[in-house]
Amino acid sequence: MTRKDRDDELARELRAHMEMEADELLEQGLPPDAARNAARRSFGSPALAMERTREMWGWNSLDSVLRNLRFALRRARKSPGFTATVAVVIALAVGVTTAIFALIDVAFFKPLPYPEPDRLAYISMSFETAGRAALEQVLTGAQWETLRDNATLVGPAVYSEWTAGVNCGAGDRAFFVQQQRVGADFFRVLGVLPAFGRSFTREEDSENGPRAVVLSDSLRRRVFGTSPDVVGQKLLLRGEPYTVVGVMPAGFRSGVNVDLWTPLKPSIRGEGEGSNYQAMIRLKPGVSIAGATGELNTISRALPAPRPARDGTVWVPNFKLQPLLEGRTSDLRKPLLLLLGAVLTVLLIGAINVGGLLLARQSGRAAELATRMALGASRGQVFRDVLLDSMVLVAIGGALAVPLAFGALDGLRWLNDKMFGLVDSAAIDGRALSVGLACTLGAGLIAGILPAWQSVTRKRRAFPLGLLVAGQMALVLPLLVGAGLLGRTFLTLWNIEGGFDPENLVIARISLQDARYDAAEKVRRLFREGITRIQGVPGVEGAAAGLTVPFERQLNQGVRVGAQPVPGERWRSTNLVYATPSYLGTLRIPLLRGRGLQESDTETTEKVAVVNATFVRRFLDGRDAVGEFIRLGGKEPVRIVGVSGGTAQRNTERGAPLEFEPVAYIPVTQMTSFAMVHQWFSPAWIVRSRMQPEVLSRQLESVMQTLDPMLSLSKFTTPVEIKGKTLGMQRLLVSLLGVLSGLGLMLCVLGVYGLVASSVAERTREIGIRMALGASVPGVIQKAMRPGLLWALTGVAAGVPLLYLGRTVLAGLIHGVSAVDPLTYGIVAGVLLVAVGAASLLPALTLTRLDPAVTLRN
Amino acid sequence: MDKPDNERVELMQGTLDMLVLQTLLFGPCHGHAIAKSIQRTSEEAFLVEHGSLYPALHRLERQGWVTTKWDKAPGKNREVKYYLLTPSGKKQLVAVQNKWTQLVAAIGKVMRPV
Repeated sequence: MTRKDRDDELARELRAHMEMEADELLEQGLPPDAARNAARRSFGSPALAMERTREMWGWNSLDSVLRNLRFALRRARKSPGFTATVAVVIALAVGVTTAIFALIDVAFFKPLPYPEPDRLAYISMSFETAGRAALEQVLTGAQWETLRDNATLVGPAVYSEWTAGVNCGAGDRAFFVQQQRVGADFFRVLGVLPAFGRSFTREEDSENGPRAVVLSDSLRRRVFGTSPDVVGQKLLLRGEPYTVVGVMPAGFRSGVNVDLWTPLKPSIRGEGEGSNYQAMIRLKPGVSIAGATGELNTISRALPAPRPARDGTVWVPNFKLQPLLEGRTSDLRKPLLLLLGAVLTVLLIGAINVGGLLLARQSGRAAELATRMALGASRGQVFRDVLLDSMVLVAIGGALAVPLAFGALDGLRWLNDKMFGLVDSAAIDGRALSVGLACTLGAGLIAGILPAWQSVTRKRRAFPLGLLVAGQMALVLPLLVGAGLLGRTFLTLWNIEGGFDPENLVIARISLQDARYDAAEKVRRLFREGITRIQGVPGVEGAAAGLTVPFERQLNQGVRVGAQPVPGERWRSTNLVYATPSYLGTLRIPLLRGRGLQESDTETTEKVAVVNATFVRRFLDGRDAVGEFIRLGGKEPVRIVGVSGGTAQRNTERGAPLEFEPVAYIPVTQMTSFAMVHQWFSPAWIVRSRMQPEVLSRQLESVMQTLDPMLSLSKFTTPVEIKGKTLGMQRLLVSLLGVLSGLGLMLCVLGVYGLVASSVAERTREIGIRMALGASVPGVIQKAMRPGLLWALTGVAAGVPLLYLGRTVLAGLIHGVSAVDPLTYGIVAGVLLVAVGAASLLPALTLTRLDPAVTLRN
Repeated sequence: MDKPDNERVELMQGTLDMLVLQTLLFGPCHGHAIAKSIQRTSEEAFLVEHGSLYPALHRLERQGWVTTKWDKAPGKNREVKYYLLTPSGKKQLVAVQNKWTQLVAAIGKVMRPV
């Protein structure tokens, strides 16, 4: 029996019943019309009886939902403007939430794609002193060897997260590939062995060991196609021959996108003197994190004795275990959570806003709903239908959010590819879409619950719309303050002058990771001849070369003050830049004392250096440094011949990302070993010219061609671009939070506007009477604005406690500005006042067009 | 013939099903007659509303305690739907009757005349 049949039968049954009733009354002597009416009266509502009976059969609930869904969709179509507003707000918020969740999922939840990922952990160095601890995620060579030689409960591996783009030659073809250097046990610890061949041996992983390389599956396909004979083949990396010893399985990733791996060859000298290694471990079977921690604490005591810091504090080093996923993504976690919090706040504001709009529209539907209830609709049904109305509106937004989420994820990657490189396996998958769906449903529920409740409540007093406005204002306050503080941070950092003249400068990079430039003499000649030729180009005002330029990351170098070793002397960390004599002049870094680097400083003359003002202040107590000696890495003393102004550098440690740091400049002629530093840095040609950058770059390229046709300038940048890259994270956060808080503020303004407009509409008559009785127009307007202003300000006051929450989230992300920065708070207060004032004033202004006579007559 | 509203008794939840089964014990009956019969035998204490009667009838049908058939009403040129007690419906009636007797007895023990 179909539902339709059953319905028809029930109707027939009820009709028969009613007729029988009428027949009986007729027999009792009532006239036919009266009998029929009496029968109908005693019968009650046939619709209700049918409805209740239908419910018996269980079809009804789904059926009525579908029918009401059609009604809800029809209503949504009838007010396209309203529907579009709601849909856009919800689509934006849900779409961005979904995209950010996709990133968070990878950074926090998804297990790493290695066997038994729970047994993998990241090793950090925790430096502890009375009650304080600082975590550094890098190890020195000595720290690594201590770990490697003493650990029994864990299998440790060392690697470098620093990948470099290198030229790879295979036969007569060249590929530009990403290289990562890893220790011998790297693949074993991760638990993934090469699909072909083997991983590195201890011998290959030691200094002067054989040159071996392991390829990724995708590179193997690119270079060798489907040929199975890959192991044993030769490749040229930086001009040096390497033997392929293995190929990793398809889909293997070591964190960042890498095409090939070469041995790290960890050492306690050179690179290993500084903290340049990352380490991870795999717990041996049956070993708990607690057990391994105990052992690591014991091993920590064997670490080289700690050096006192600048202020004399002794920071005791201790190995620290972190789950590998957490360790790898630690820099990302806070910004991601911040973004998620911000976008969820916007979603909440949007949902409350939609709730307010529905509530306002509800007053127009009051008659319809009352009729339906009178006709026998149960309160539950009406409640459900009104909720469904909001769900439908929000669901339209949710559907639009899906394509938006894909776009948002791409957008986030585009905004900062480096930051999200670690989580680039993030995708809008089922998990992310479920979260989007949950957000949509949640928003629909939040938006619909009040109107639904209002529609069935017996209390006739309307729910105060103002409370919703206040709620939105409370939520938007921390958003605005957060965006303000991040904006001030970004501007403060962006406005750092840098200590040089960044105008009309072009920087070209050239990779010297090439065996032909291992010999120092070759590098020196390249720079000498290159600069002479570039200076000969018409329109070039100055040219120089150096390892790095300001605003970017510099080479770290241990330094000791004094010509001779003294017992108990302290290592300090400076930045080292090798430079041609024209470096300071071309960049226009002022020389404060002494002399600059000169052509007369050669490999045979006394070792000299120019240090900057920050160096002098930090390491030499600000005294006249000229004539003092320092030792840079090696034992040989270097005489300070000049002091330059300080420059701002990218800071990779804690603290602001752009800071004035100590730098020592040494002549490129006195630099002895280039191979190591050129693995990390591509040196820079610095050219000052008023020429169009495109014209200049063509000129420079042809100069390089004549110099060495095998070398090609990789890219041309300007100091401003470098600064932008250094501040990429700050820029990303401030732009996203700016957009989100702007969206939130816009929603709040709409809310305030709606509140004042509806109260004006409701009270038009009363206001008309007041005006007829002589109330002044400004007075009336002021009065009309009052609910908007009052509720908004109440909301802002209620939002103040939320600021404390925001402060903990922002800690570590704001630099150079206090978390209670008065200027930020002032600007936010000003923006809020103007926005709320305008939103209250506009609808109130309609009162100026009010004609008291007309109002009274109506 | 109608009692004033204040002398009517509200049907206790779930008792209508029992009353319907009891009514059908005397033979097939249509909805109208079931309602009238309950009203009459209760001396108009219960007014069976259609909004509750038909859901109850269909509930019993779904449980399999009654079956239905359409038939001519006696002396009328009209088809009506008759409800018939099934064997399992009879068993159900016995079961609820026992429960009901126990319930009345138990309540009677508690409720002494005031």
